[in-house]
Amino acid sequence: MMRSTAPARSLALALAIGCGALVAGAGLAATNLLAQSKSAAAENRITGGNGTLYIGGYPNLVWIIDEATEKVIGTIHTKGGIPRRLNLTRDKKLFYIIDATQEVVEVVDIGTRTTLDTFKLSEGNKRVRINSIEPDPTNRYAILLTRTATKLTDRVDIGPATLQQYDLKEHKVLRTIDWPDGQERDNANLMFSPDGKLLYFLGNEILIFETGNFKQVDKWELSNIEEGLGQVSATFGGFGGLDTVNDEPGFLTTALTVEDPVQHRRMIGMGRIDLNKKDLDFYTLGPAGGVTIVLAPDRQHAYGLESAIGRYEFWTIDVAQRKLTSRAEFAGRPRMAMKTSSNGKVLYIYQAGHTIDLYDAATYKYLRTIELDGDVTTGFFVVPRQTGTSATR
Amino acid sequence: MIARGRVLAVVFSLSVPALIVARAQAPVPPPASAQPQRPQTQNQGVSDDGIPVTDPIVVRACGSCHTRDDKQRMTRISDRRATPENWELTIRRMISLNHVQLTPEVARAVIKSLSDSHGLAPEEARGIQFEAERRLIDFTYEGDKDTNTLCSRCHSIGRVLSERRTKDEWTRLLAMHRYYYPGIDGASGGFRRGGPPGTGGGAAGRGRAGDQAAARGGTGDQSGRGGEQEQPMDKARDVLSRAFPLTSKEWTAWSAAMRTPKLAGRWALAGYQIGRGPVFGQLTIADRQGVADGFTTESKMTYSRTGETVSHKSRAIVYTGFQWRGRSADAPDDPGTWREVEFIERNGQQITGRWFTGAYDETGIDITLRRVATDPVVSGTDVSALKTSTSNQRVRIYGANFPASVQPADVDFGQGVRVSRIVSTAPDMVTVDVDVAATARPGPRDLSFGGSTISPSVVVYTKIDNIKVVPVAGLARVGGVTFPNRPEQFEARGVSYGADGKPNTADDLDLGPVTVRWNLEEYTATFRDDDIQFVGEIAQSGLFTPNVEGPNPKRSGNRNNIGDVWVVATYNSTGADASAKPLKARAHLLVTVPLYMDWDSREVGK
Repeated sequence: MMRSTAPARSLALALAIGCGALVAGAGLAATNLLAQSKSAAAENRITGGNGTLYIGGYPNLVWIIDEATEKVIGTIHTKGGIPRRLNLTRDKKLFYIIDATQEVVEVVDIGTRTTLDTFKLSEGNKRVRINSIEPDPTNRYAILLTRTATKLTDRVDIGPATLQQYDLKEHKVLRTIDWPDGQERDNANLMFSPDGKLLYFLGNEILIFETGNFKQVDKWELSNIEEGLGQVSATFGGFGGLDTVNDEPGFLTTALTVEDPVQHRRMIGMGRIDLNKKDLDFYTLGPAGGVTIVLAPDRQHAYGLESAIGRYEFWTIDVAQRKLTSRAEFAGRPRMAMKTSSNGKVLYIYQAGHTIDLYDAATYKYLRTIELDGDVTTGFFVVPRQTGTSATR
Repeated sequence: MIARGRVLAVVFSLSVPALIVARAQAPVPPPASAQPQRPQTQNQGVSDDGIPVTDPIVVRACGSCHTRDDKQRMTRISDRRATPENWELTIRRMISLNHVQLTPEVARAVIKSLSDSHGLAPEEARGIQFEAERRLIDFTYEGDKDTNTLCSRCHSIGRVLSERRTKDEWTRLLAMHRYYYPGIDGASGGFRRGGPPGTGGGAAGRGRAGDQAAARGGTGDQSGRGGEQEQPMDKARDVLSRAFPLTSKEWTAWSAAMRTPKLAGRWALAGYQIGRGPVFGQLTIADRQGVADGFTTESKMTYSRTGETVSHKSRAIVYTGFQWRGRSADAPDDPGTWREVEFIERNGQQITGRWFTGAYDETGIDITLRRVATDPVVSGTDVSALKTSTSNQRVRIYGANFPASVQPADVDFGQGVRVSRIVSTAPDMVTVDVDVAATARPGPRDLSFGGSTISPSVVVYTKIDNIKVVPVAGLARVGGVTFPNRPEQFEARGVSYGADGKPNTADDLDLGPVTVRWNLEEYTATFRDDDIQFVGEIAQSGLFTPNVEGPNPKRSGNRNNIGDVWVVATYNSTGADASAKPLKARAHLLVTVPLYMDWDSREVGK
């Protein structure tokens, strides 16, 4: 199953000290010292908090890991196949899981670890691939980005990318939504407003649709928010998709890059987007490399992960001070992604493989590794402890 | 791009016979529910240039799905030409994924027929002969590097260049890929991207690629808009349809001139096997009764370095008038493990190619056959280099029809090399001693004997300036438990810098194999690299044998015994140069996982 491989150096040191004391003949004092050392080691053990970690893997499951003990405490066995993409609802009660074939969506109640529903749009010789799904806040319907591939007698026919409103109860497509500007997209980063009345198309320009008839009501370009900002390029969602767990409703934190007008250097920066106020707080951090940024739960810090071949760095960003406060190389591993723990003290490194490496967010020191009994196939969600169990749909 | 796609016959038994249901001759059409309407977005018919399909076997086998028009053009098929290997891949796909039922005989007949009627011309096939010859080479399609990169993400670009199609047909090929592989549009396949032109990629929705592309500073449009630019797959389609069209003057000419080659008779064989050196012999080709364009061979050949003699029999079919595909057979010690892929020159006097065997076709002999009539034919010599200021160097000359009486003057190695003595003569070998003058100009020499000339036969050199290791980039696959392994044979070769004494110039001379000491060194590609402890071992013969496959609990992360290392050769000079500093050269060796899926086409040799 799962092993947590802790170095336990401090405990070993404590034992060594204790043994030395015993040899000296002060038996009782040594026993007390040993006990105190163990206690100190336990107190000094840095853990990620008391949340729950969810991560999909092979074959056909989502591991549930207790953040405090770093043990797998359960699994959700997916009925739709190998999970490839987890979408966590804003209330953190449901996962919408897309399988590896991109044809099956499975709705999982996190509290009860049960599958509430599965559906697919494929039928007969027509495969409907669901590239992304965004449920509305009430889980009444979802917006699906789909593309059909139809097998005909001597050929296949690939359809256009289509944006559809899908009724989650009736299991039927309610409407096909016209593409903004009439231009088909291969991908769409979508997000509902907290009240579900608006749908955002997230990109370098953010398009806003009302959700009654899905007509575009507004549009704003990040590059035009401030004169002189330059051409902005935004990133929404890292490996596994958009994770807004640590953002307050209506906000998005993301890495942005800009290019200065004279020397044309591309810089990466931190962007906090207020969707309600159509505002962007942006500041550069340094040369654009391969850095991804995640917001810490306190929203006062964010962490960057730079991953180039053979060179890996942690970055720490002071959100309040709007600056990069530290960065340091670490051993890292190829193909990695990062999440912050629910208490912000631990950085989780994961992605390719069957392990999650834990690092101290304050010192970047490697702590431990959580080993899973299968390869990871999805993004990773850290869900803080919360009240409530199952969701209603 | 590494031309690859090696055999894994033990594990993957999707060869045509295994899939073919012997009892059914006629193809079974898909069930009624799978008989959809015609697509609305593509041209449904055959192009005006489509090549008619007239063979009733093909019509019967393919006709239930591929309709034929009044000009005998069948949908899809008529708009495509391909090598025999690619037609076999298609037949296998039709069987495995579309549930076509064909007997092995019918399947082979279809491959043969289509390779002849819808094949490649010699000029079109020559450049990608390495693909059928299963050579592990580094090849890039220079016509368009984006296309090269896109296609070679998953398979050899040689496989792509083995095709000729109309633009619509290239489009349909891409569509087929998109149907079977869900992730091919995105990061894993790279068929499509979201960003505007010149961004080098943009967002890929909520996935990794877009995130990383943007994180690296791309200006991609994260809205995922794709309509403003040419998608990678569209560019590839345009490139391929321009560079590899259905209609070509080469095919027009060859398809008219094509005939069954007249190959029966004796052939002088010259070959080279890395690690074992030159091999010479004679081969007899006979017509194979009852098989269209079928032949049998018998050969006997000798490795000149060791004197080992090997007999070889095979059966072969010639596709498209020039593509020899054979397999060893009818020998008690060889149940058909050697395959033969050869190219028959249009003049019918020479055949070149590769014989190969091994689980991954890694063991191979480069073969040249020269037709033997009544005149002497020189195949080559056992030595590849002659040093200046030497005398009585023994050279064995291999070939056929050598006269019984030979005089030193009959054998001409060119300027500065004098045959001092005829040691022995035989119809297929003459042994001579030669003297090489101190003033002999370094460089290659032609060998003329009895009216036959081979160019070049040997090189004359003054000293070994350096050595090199071949292959310069090796590949091995762990195995031996469930999957077969793939060893890699290395060879060190001497290098003379030639008359100018400068390295890496046009007059550098390859002196042939030299005896070296072999060892491995760590190739530190990642921090704490420990590959050398796990990947395997190299013998003093230059043969690298990989470790077993599967997770190794002794490695961090339970990794397989994979990695990359340097293969280092050290050459200690002999004779007068014995005190000189040893020469060293190295090659890179990648040790990777077994091939878990076998896509090879091997039926064409049957």
